[in-house]
Amino acid sequence: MGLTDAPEPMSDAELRELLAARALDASVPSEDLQIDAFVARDADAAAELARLSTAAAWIGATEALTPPGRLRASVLAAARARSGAPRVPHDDLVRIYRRETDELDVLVTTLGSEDLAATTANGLSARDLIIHLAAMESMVADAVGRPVIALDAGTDVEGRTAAFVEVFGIQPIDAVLTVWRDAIAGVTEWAATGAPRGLLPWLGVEVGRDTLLISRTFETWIHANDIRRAIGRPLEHPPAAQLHRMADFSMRSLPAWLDVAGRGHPGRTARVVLTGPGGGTWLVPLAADGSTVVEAADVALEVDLIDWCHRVGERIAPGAVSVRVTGDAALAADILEAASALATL
Amino acid sequence: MPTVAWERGTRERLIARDDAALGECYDQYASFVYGLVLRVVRDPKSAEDITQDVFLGLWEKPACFDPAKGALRTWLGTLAHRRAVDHVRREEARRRRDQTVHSRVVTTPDVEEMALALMTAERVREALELLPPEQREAIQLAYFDGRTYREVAVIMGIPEGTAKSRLRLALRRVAMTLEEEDLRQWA
Repeated sequence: MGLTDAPEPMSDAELRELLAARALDASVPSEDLQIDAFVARDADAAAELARLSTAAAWIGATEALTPPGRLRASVLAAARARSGAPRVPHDDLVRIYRRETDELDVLVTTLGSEDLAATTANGLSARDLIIHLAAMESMVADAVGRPVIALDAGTDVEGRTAAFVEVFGIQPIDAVLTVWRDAIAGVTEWAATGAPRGLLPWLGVEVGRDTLLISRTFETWIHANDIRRAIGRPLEHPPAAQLHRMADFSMRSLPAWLDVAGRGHPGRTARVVLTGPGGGTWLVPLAADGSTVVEAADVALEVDLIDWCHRVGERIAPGAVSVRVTGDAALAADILEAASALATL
Repeated sequence: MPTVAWERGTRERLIARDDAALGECYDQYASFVYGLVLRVVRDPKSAEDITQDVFLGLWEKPACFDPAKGALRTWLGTLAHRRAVDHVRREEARRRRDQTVHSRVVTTPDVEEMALALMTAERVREALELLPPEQREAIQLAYFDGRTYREVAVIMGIPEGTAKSRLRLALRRVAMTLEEEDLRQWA
């Protein structure tokens, strides 16, 4: 996890000279963090390392040799044992939940001690933000009957996070990552094989399986970008198809969110156009009372999809969203206010 | 032949915990991974263990493999080599014995892919043989013997900067060979 003593800082030119050694795994381990950080911030270096790594792999390919026949069965048996059986194909929501948690896991494994100390948008250090995610994911695991930690930390978000920080803040980051990963595995197993059709108690409300998964996906993605932003790395977004799935979910949930926010407008309709990869057009009733939508919407909003998702994740204020509104501006304001209801789940 | 689309699809299937996808990856790349690891660790049992760890690594963290950043072969090769070198360094295996060379016949479900891989590997082997002896020795020490560039410098009696540049020149030569042969579809 990059917690070794840092060697003398090297210049970019010195680090560039080490790319071949890194590709051959012949760099000195204590210098690897600096090399990896250099590659993360310098696109040319990343391209050169990729090129040299490909060459190194092909040097390895000159030694291809058929392994003993028993190894295949051994590998597959070990894989099945590690994930639990039975296996069922995952639906979209489980897949995107796993994608985002896996993406964050990849990010976390690249963080050094300085990165973990960086302050994120909500004031927590990256380390404490990861601990917060473990606190939340383990609470989900509790809620779905797959508890992963015997720690009486309650269900209040801030209180639970504080209790986790107290326990894990002084331990190596791997300790809390184990809890986080175990919780994800439990939630995945529950969602794939044993999820009930009914509602679950979650942060004072009752939610369904899909809402729970999508809210975890949103939070994981938003916090991964919080960390990237804090350490100066470029933000990363899910693939277009996944963004569309997440946006579609938000649109189908919007009527209920408006009601929760006390901003429902029965009988009225909005046309929401989300632009950019994964975008689309939705006709949305502005209250969850079963009203039918009408083509002649009362208001039309055109918003960049990423901006919309950031609003849903409460990373930008309603007034900061760049939106083109046609029609009833008050309705548009209510929609943008209510859009972040998911972030409170 | 594996394509980016195939690799993306396989990655998604692995993320969805489809173990048939892992079986396909194994069939395609086990010879590559096992042969490379065995070459470094020189112990068949350890090579089996590390090969298993590599495929389980793919199974448990499929999102770590990003098709946009390189081919699955490169990703697996990097992981396999890194684990093999870690093993060697951990065990402080300074001397290795020759192993009886097993058959190089490789069975995979994709004969075309493997035929191209063997051909490409032959080109790379030729390129290695054409390297100046001092560069070839540096690669041998670093890649197959698991030495750091600093150790390479000590063993060869050269400054560290020279060791780094020999490794760089040799690896770039191999990269150029791959590119000259128009084999960038593998990259």
